[in-house]
Amino acid sequence: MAGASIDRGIKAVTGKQKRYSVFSLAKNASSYHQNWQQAWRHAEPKPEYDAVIIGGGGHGLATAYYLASVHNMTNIAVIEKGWLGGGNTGRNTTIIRSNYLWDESAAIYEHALKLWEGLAQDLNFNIMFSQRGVLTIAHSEHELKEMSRRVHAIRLNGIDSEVLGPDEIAKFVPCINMDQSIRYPVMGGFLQQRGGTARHDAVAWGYARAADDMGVDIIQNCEVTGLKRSGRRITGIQTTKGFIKTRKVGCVVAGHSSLLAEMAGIHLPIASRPLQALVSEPIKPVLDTVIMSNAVHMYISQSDKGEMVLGAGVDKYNSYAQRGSFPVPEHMIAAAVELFPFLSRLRMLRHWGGIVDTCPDASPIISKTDIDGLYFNCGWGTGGFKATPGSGHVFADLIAQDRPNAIAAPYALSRFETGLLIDEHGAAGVAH
Amino acid sequence: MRPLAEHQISDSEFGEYLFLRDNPKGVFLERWRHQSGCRRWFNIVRDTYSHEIIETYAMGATPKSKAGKAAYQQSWRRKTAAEAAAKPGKGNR
Repeated sequence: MAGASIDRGIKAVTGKQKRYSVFSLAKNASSYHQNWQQAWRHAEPKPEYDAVIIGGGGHGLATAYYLASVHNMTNIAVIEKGWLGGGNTGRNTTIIRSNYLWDESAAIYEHALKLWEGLAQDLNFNIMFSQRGVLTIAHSEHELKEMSRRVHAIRLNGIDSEVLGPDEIAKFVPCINMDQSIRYPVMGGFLQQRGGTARHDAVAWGYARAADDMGVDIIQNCEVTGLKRSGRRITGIQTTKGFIKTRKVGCVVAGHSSLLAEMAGIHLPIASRPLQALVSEPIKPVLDTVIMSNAVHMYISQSDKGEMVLGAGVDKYNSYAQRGSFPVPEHMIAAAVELFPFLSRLRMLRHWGGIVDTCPDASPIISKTDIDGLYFNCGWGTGGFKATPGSGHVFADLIAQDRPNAIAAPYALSRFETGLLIDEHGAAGVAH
Repeated sequence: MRPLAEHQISDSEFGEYLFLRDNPKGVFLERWRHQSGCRRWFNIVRDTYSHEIIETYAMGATPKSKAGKAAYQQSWRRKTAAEAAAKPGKGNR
């Protein structure tokens, strides 16, 4: 993935916002934290914008931020039906990695990872990005062989990745059950040291604050009810807060993408499914990395608060209800307890679901449409969080230039006509 | 239904058949399999928001309930070239 360095845009918070720093922390501590500035304005919609982003999650806010900071488009708005980061941005298990098999995936996820690495500085917001490593476990000889093939492919793309044997895993993750007599014993694995986690809420808030500081209007509690067009050109959006005139609309609404597309008469290859996650009660630090297993279908990490964060695969049916069925968490907990027997004593603290937009080839859609000025960024399915900065960066470029850049081009909707799919089911279909 | 006369439709129309989906928030027509029981396939009319099961019906049949009928008739798929090419008749071998 060697290439030109990324245009990260203007470093955020050059406007009216006061910068966050150790000095501002000390200063505000002396006034009992009563005088912190509001992080972003509660904007009401203006009659017209140069562009409107629908969806105030991480991807949508990132798109707005890069439109403003890289492409100098500041007369834009982000429209959010609920509250910022209240959808999948606030419901995922916060895992970040870029160890994907195919070149197209490697390009976009590594683009994102490079942006993650400087994001806290870019945004002047502590997103608690922690490169604690992501270790994917193999439970059979065959899986281990397939993994080393994948590791080589990933390394050819210039992304760090290494195979670990059982002894190295036992050393790297002392609390894992290395007993070879369990149903799915740990036989090896592969590690991306640069992978890790970030605080999901902070990502949404950081982007929102930085975008707002550059003049982007962030409008919450505002639902889009219609897309208005004249001929093949988008001319505005109808919302619960009135009509907004605009010639560019970027839709970044994850599980609800199909509904928005139908408003414009477009059909997407997306199925909206529930994806569940849960956290245990907080405990002292035991796990300082991220463990994933495709074979037993589970991923786990420990948050900075001490909660064990667990996730698994999607429920098998379509749903918009933001809740899932019992067999999925049951399966996930069974797998987790076998690998980490101490978990059996923990109580579950919270359990929730989000609606993910799954695509037939488990890769996203970043695309223009048949309607001029209407763009879609969706189909991230179960693994969108890790791509947040990269997704926003290339989507902003697509909206501003009206043509996809080299990273976004393979993700056009036309791949479902040409058959040039980016089939990531093997590498990414399960665990994120 | 699979377009039998696949040579008569364009790549884009075949792509529509193969990949594009109905993904409604509300009444949805699906095919389920009774995996742990009789192992038979059957059709179901289900609400994807309330999870209410409105109706089940046999393979090859069409829905009887008002909501199911409406969802069946209003689906854009009924009007696609792929659906037309799925019907046995002229041009099909």
